Amino acid sequence: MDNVIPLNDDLDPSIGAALGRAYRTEVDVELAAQHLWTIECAARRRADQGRRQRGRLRQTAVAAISGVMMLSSSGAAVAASNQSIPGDVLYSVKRSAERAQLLLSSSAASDARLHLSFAQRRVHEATRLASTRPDEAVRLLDEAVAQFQTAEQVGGHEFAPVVAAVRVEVVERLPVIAEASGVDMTAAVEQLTAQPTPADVVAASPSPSATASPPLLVAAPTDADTSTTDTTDTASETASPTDVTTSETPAATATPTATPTASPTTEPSTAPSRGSTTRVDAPSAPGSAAEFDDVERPERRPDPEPEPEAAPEPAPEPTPEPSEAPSAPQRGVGPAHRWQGDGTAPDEAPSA
Amino acid sequence: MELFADEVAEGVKAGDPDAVGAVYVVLANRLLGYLAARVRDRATAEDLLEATFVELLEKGHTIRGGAAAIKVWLFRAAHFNALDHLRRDRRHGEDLRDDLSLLTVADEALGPEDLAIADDESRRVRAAMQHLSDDQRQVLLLRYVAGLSAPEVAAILGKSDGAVRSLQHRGERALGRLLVAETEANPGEPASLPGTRASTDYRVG
Repeated sequence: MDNVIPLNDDLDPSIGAALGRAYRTEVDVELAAQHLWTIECAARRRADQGRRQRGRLRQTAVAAISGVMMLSSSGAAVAASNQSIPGDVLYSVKRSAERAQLLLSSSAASDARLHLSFAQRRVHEATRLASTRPDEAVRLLDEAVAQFQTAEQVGGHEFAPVVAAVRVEVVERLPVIAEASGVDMTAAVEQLTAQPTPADVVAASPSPSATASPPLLVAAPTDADTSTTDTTDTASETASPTDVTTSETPAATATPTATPTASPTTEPSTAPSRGSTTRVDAPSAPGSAAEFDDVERPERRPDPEPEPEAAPEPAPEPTPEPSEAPSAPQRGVGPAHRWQGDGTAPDEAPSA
Repeated sequence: MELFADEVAEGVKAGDPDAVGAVYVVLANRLLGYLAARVRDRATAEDLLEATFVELLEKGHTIRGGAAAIKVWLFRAAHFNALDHLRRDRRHGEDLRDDLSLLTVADEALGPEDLAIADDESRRVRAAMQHLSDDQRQVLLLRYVAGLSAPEVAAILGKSDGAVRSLQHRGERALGRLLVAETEANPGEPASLPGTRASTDYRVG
């Protein structure tokens, strides 16, 4: 190496030339555009994840659920799912609809009502599953208890009587479930009875939404958040107390909620007693497409995800692609530009 | 000589895709060349190039330093990505495959004959490189193709500066010997390395 003049750092120029030639490559414009686009999309995904972690669950979750709704024909599927139980194909739609309702709920009172109605649903499901899948039934009851507690917390003092009324209902059903499943329901009974007793309920001053009669009246709205619903709801509100007392049956057979379905528009499904289950839900319940429309129109919301999903595919032509991508490609990408690639900046220095 | 501005370096560390793009513009060719030399397959090299830059986007916040540190980081990531690929792809007709013939960029100054000769030369050089030990080859590629300094190479390979220089010199000598032997075996061919001194220079050590 004595005759070799080092370029820098004792590099042999002839070897440098040989290796440079042997391995010299250039990234063509198309490849660069593709890679830069991938980088951009990766950055967007990270930004989305960050937002989610910072608690902006509402936006993305609603969007995702809206997507589910769209795919599952929206209101019809939701309505059809109302009678489903774990194991049914539509059960996931049912639960998704519940989550959607919670997200769309705009007040603590409607939240509380929703949680209460979900608790009831869990109890119904547990009843239906008690004999065939007792473990599942117990799990559902646990969920119901949790929902009750949430309803109480969220609903506050005013809502306590309503919750208590429903609680009594549920407790009455527990022996049925226990018998059918062979599972000891003592714990569940204790948990559910550890709250205001029926005596308190009776003593409580009856507001329109909390009649003294045990059967549930969650359907009756007191808040304005359901003001968008039509007058049929108010009609049923006044109708329900009387109807309830007449159609109330012992817990053994009928569902605890016997509110008739006043508005025909909200009843897409089967037997009246079953149908009343949906009516029991808050007026903003997804019992039907019509009601869903009243609350909001999540199914109208466009799917926000198309762009990032389409990102990994490279654009066929390099020219339109860089214009969509961020400014990075414009720094050097374009038919007129060639990379220097050997460590020096391209002709137009990066403007970053 | 700074490869790119401090603001770009800061942007990279902040995970700004535009800043990462700016680094891409500057270093993609060199990285692709290095990756192609390591994995000896252009398509794979391109995929690894993309993956390496996405890694930079995601992990750039861990880098301490400026443009130089980012460059070293990139080549280190490329080095290990290539290593992972080679380990998975063991003995995949390594000796036979030379897709890199498509890799070389035509020097516009050369006529068609010279181009063919240059292609031929390049193929021989690459073949000769494969006869070096892994360590020697890696050092030569990082020093010559990637353009990193000896300390930077040492940092990437986890070796001492002395070890890197030693590997480099031995690799250079071995390469020289191989190419001379090639030339002598093919007397009709022109000088083994275009633009070099007489091949006798390589009979060193």
